[in-house]
Amino acid sequence: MRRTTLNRRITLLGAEVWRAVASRRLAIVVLAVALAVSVAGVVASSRLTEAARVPGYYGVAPLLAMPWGEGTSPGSRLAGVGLGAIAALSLVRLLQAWVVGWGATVPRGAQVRLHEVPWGVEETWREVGAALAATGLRLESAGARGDARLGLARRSGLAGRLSGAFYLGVLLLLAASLVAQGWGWAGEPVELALGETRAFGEHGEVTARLEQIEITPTSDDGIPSLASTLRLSREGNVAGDVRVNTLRRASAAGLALYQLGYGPAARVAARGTDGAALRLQSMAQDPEPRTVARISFSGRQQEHLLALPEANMVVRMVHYPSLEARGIAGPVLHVRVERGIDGLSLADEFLTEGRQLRINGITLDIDFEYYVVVRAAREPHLPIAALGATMVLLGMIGFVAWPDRRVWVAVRAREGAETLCQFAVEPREASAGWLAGVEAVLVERACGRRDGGGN
Amino acid sequence: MAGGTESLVVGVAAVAMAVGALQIAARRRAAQGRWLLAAGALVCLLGMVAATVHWGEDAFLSTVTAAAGMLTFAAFWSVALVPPMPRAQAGYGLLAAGAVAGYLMAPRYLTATAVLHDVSYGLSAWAYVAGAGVLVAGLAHTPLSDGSSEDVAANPHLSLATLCLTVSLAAQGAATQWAWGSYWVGDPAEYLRLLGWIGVALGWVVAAEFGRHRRAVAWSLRAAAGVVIVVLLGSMALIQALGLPSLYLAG
Repeated sequence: MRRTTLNRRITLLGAEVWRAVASRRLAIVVLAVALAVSVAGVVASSRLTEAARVPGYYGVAPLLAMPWGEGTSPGSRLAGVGLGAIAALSLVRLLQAWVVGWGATVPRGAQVRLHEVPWGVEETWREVGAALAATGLRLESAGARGDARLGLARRSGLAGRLSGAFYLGVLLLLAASLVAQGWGWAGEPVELALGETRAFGEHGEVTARLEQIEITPTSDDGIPSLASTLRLSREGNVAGDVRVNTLRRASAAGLALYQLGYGPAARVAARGTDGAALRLQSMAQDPEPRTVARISFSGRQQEHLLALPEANMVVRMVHYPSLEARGIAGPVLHVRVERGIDGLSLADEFLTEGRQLRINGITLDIDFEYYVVVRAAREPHLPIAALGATMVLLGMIGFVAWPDRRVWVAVRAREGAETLCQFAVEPREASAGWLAGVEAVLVERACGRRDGGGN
Repeated sequence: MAGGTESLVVGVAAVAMAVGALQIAARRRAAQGRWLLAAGALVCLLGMVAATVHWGEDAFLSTVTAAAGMLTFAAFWSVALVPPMPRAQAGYGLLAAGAVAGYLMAPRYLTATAVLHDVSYGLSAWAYVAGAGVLVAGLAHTPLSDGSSEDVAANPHLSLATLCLTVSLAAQGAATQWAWGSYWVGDPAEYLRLLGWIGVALGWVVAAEFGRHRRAVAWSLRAAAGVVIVVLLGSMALIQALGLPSLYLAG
């Protein structure tokens, strides 16, 4: 007896949970929490570092691109719990939408309609099914309780199933995030000047050398469009060339490549009095002497020093996006050449385009170039995310085109020839035209039967 | 000042909208007026979308473009979805024609260099504008006084707006993934646009749950419309005013 009571309580509790998961009030709570999280997101974004506020080059602030924080912070754990709850909720709702017999139980406050019909239970079930089918609903059996036969009628076919795609989409998007965390990888942005080679890939297994930059000026004097050609090598073997446009994904050697932006660079070469190339030594970036130096002016470093040991000179270069004090609106390079031994100024020029400088018989060739910022990533989660987004959109179309329409049906034999048929609908559907249509069909057929039977 | 064929088409369509609205207001050939209003609004929208794609303009950054688009969509939906009182239809038509005139005279605001200068980002902005337009059209069904109309037709407006905003967010995710390698970069602009989606979805669910309480339904629609209009017309200005870092303003 005690065991029966316990089982009954568990059954009732299960029914309540099932009902609560399907209820709109829970959806309201979830959306309200999401609203609070969005507001918190706006506030949190104001705490990003100053470096993120001022991108050092056109087109990107890579510090912003961090969808996943450290997994151990309390905030991340809370977010994980929240996302887990959303996943569980979506799974249950998907089952309720797609699996026959898993539909939600009768909601609280449901409007009940009773009809006495002149058929047996089985025949009544068929007649009710036919009346519901006339309005595009399909009656699914949900078992029996005592002598009552229970069922749930929902939209049939695609119209009834499409909205469930929304929950499948949410699950796929969450799964894509897990795949991204477990198997994906996103590298740091890397600056590349012409002729420079840098390592890419999670373990540096791929190297890329910037071979060429193509600049397409815009018609309205805006920022030019820039495409770069990278030569990729894997373990020393050339894997091929790939062309990457700014803010356009490219893929090669199993990696996705993003050219996030570009910035100003300078090419510097020096010749002595005899015309022979002199060696230049960058004092901040790469100290190895070169006959041609390429210098990137990124957000982190707008000033560079180059030493010419053979000429006893130091070239100091500072890049400005504009210099209003000197009436220069566009980018300008301030070049100051000093004597190495005592810092005596030998030349001081503001260059707005490439030029040749002659100082004490030494020729300095300075040209304006660009450097590019490239980021590599491995993205096994993208197809799953794309499928998830498509499912969410399809589900939303389902919600809009075919709003949820459900009737809980109970058919029970009564004493005598009559059978009692009970319809339960959500309160908002109580005065719906389609429900009136179902009832009209049922009543008409019942009257026909009674009339035909001589009643 | 906008130039070219698009401006001419948009200008002519705006005149057609105004004529249609006046016909509806005067109750003379009102049916023809409604056709004129709907057709004018559609052509206007096509012209504005073409112009923004051609000029690389971001509707989120240009309040004039967004407002003109939103009111034109409202005029279109007021005929195509659940028609409100003729006075409201005429009002939307005239407001839209005026806003389009302002759009034609306003200077162009090109996208920042972060230029998600592609179809996907353009679709994102215009889907948001369309969603806002649906909600503005729906406001005509929620008179401040408790009128005698049988039902507040909020659900079609809220559900369609939610769909439009879902398309917008999906297109934005595709654009940022294509450009920056992440469909969600934690930008304040993204959070604010998501806020608009949540506001509308919440309004929709509340309107469905409490469908028998007309006041609750009406206020759901009003609140959702308020959130979306503020996000569409004011989010970028708010980000700039607060000095928040945003990729959508970088460059």
